[in-house]
Amino acid sequence: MGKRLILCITFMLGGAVHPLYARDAATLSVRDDAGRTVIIQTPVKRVVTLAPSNTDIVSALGMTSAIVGASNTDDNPLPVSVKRIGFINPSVEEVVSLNPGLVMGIYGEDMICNRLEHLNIPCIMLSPDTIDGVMHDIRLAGRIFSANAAASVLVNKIKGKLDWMDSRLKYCRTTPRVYFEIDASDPSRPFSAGRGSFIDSMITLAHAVNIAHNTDTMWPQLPEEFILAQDPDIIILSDRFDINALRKRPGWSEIKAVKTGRVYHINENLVSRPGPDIINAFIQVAKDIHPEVFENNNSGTDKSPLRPFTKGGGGGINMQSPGGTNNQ
Amino acid sequence: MKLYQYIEKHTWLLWSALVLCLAIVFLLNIAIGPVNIPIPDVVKAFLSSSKSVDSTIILSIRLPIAIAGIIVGAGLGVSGSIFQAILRNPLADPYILGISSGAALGAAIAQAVMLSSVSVSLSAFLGAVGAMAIVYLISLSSGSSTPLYLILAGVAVSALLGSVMSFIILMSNTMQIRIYSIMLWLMGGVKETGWHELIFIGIAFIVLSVTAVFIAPYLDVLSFGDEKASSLGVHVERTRLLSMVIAALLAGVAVYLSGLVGFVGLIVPHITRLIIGPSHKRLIMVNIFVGAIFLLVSNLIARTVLRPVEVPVGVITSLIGAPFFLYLLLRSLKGYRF
Repeated sequence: MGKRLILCITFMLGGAVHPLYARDAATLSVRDDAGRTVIIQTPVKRVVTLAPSNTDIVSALGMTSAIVGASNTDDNPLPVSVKRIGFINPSVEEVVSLNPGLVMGIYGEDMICNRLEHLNIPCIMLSPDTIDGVMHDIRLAGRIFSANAAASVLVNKIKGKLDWMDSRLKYCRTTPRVYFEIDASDPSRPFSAGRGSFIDSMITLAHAVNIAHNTDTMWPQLPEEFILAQDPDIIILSDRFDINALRKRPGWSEIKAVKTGRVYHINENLVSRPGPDIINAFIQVAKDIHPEVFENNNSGTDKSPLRPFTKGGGGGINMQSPGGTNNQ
Repeated sequence: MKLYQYIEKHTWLLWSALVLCLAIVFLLNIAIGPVNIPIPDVVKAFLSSSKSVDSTIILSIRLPIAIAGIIVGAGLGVSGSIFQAILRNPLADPYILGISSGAALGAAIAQAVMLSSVSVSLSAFLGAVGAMAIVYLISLSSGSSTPLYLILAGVAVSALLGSVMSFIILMSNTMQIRIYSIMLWLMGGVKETGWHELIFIGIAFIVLSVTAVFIAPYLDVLSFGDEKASSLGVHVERTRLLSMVIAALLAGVAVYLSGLVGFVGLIVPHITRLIIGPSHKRLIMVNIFVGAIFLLVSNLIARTVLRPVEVPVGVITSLIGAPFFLYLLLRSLKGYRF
């Protein structure tokens, strides 16, 4: 009985590594964030990344050497041998000439993706809009590049940071109301982030209420009087824009966030790229929103916020990495 | 002696020049592209049966784009001259009767509900032809589809469809992210097409163009005005309907292949008219060549000038077309009659 079982298992294993099956196993069918099903020959040895967040994910898995083409807006450190192609509207011909096994894009690049698929070049769009989505996409990339171990390590690291954040955020006693300003080129109708956007999900996760949450679109243009009427407790804005200019807008000095000095900058690249680093954006947002639970461990005390304006350009992560302490 | 009087005496010269020019720009479009492929490799990729990156680029990208470019340029040129004739308006172009806004709306709807790129083109085509049909029916309900009614109905329908499109863009989450790609699509660019599709479209294009050549003499009569035309024994309404169907379908085919390429349909008929005079039969035949040559030249520039980014071809058609047209116009200002 035991022998037969072993024989049976051996037979099955043998079957699994039979060339015919092996070839099947190397064909991976994945579903991308746009809901498209794409067949990929794995492991992918040559990849073209059409957006910086794709490059972030591939690099974080230690697969930078597989990148043969990247967009010309990509500021990641890449070898000079990597061919620079156009962003959003790259030349299809140039992408084809790189002979990629896979092309990775983001939402908005579906036209180019579909054109490449017609030419039998697999193209996936990865545009996660939650941290869970980022972890899912990292795992997906791990399967694609046969780098499952690296993907697990990365995901666990992110999870560790998330758990640590949870352990802090559960002491929150308040749910402040946050206004997130993405672009104020027209200060009377600035762009914010509504439901379905990454920023909205981060604010909610950070135990706060996004005042733009109930707008119907993902990137709403909020009328100035709506913001004034909402009277947010905290304002976070892209570091492309000046905090002092915001304070000087007519009527804005009456907003609670401005009165109490709770207007914070955030690095635009950090918050706009749905890659592995997005967890750091979340940490920064959460610390801006609930400094009291991060300052020390006598949690739950509802201290009045004391943090002054952060200086312009002071975005990025200036706190010590929490990952090492709690994720073991 | 005027240019077209000279050409009239030497027709063979005109035709051989046109064929030669078209052949040259067609070959240039295959030999030159965003990626540098040496000429011997181009020939090898074309003749060799093995599949390589080069052969994909030549056979699946450059060749279909060059052929589609001919269809788009020629189609817009012919369509433009038909619209200018039936509307008796030198400023008419293939997009004047709601076709552009219909196409844009169709594309926006397809993008908003996340269909594949083929469906964007198809839905743009349907939007274009649909808008045109609405304009015609509106003008017809006034009794007769006179040029005035057609143009006014076209303006109104365009405005309406345009605002519906803006509304869709504002209301749709997915559109906000994809707005850049839809803008690029609207600016026009000839894209590679599958061979089966291209052959089908090519046959449709040939049938439409040949029909256009056959109805050309009636367009000459129509340009005298509705009353004179009907006293000369032409059924004005039917002639206008048939011409409009052909012109709309040609413009729709161009929209399907390349989005909204501006300026070609407006300027090519005028350029041709400056060269060979106003007779519609010859005008349409020569337009096929001039339109195709003009678009292929623009396409070559669009695909290579700003590497690695491809410029929408519609930007280039205006950029090189407008100065060239002004030059022709100033040279023969006194001799030019619409």
